[in-house]
Amino acid sequence: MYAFKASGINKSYGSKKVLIDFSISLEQGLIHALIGPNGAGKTTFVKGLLNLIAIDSGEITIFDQNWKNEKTHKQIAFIPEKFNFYSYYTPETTVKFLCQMHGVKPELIKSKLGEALEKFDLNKIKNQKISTISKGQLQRIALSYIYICGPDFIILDEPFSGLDPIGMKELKDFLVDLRNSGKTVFINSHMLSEVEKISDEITIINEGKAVISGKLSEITKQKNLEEYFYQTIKDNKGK
Amino acid sequence: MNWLQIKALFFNSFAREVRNKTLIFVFILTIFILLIVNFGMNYMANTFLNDQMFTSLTQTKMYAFYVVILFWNNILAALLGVSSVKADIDNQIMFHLWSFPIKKIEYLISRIFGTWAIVLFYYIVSLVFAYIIFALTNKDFTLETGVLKSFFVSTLSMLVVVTFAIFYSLFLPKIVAFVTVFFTSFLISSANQYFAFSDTGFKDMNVFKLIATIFNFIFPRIGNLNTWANSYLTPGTELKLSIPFEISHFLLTYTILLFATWFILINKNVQDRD
Repeated sequence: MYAFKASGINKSYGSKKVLIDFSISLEQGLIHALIGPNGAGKTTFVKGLLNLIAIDSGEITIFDQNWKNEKTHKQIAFIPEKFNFYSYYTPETTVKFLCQMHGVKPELIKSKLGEALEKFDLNKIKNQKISTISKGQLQRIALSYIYICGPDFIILDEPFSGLDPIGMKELKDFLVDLRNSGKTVFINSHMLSEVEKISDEITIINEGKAVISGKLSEITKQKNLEEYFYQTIKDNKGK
Repeated sequence: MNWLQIKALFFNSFAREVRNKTLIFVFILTIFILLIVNFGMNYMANTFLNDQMFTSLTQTKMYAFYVVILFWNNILAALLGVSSVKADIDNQIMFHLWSFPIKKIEYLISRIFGTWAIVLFYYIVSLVFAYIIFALTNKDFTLETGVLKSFFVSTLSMLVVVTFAIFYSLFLPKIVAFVTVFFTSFLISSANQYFAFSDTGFKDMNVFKLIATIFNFIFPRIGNLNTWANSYLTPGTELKLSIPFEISHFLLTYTILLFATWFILINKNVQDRD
């Protein structure tokens, strides 16, 4: 079964075509990375997938349901690149707020909040203002939220940017754990070395088109991901 | 309806504005003005007025308190309204909030009513404070039920001001939106007053009358709501409005305003995000 399937997606901003007949699908229980240079259309696709922007044409299904149905969002957790929540919130209130926004029942939040803060080492800073904490700690807040909500499908926009090596390792371990427990992870990133370490499948997007999509192990048989990506983008420039 | 999310956003709006410096400033200013009105009028009464005139002044003072509070509340409603949704857009939080299982109209309603709730909170605190000042300085003070009725009616006009402020803030800079809210409120109130109290009505139609007619019929009637609210404070005055009609008109036009705001909001974001 597919976690999501998008076919024939087109999106323009004025005369600029951002997504051109873009198709992608993702089987459940895998980590799939969407990679591409800046301005390739990655973020626009994620926005379309989450129904945050209207696409011009094309169809998307999430767990076999129409993506415009807001009920599909109950199965999704989205972690944006700029996780700049209300500066006066604390890590504890932020996790609580995110879970409430996800529709998690108050009793469940109450029973799992302490455990989540403990697991992601947020107890010491749980009452500190969020404006004073690091990017790595912010990322752990997002992970605590995912841990409590237990969504089936997790979408991360540039999750590795701004993280130190420890933060990166923790994040990768957590994402692999999620995959191993049957969850589906979709990463939008251009940190190729990190993506290569954990992804099962990749899609390369360039100038709004899906250049290649498939299993990472097959794509990187001959070359490593960085070289393959560089060559592919170079070969497809202007096509 | 996604009640858990609506509740979370509603309280988030409240928590966000409680620490708003503008709110604290307006509250201090209100208290300051109330104290000046009270002591100024007391000084005048003790120095220049006889007993009969003093009794009449008590009523006037009460009314003056109420007008001051109402005026500041409308300013506050506009101030908080212009930054309510705009802050989510400017801080790039909107994108994240909409990714949760919540309809965009539910998001908008949560923000409108959350902002309205904080204005009401401020309104109640100001009224309580005014009554404390009044009770301490006037021996013949009694709490009239009319004030309570007036309170409920006037909160509706604040809801309209909050919604107008959010509406304008979606396509105008904050300060311009704030001024435009007051300009719109003034035009609506003037049009309402004209049609409620003028005998000529639609006779001798001209451009200005046409504009007044449009403002009187397509927007929620803030002026009539205030006239209705004031009628509870001045017993004995005849209310020339049909309350069932005014309520029906309010519900219809407010719903249109709400959906117009929602429509602009969803289209606004398409342009802002990329």
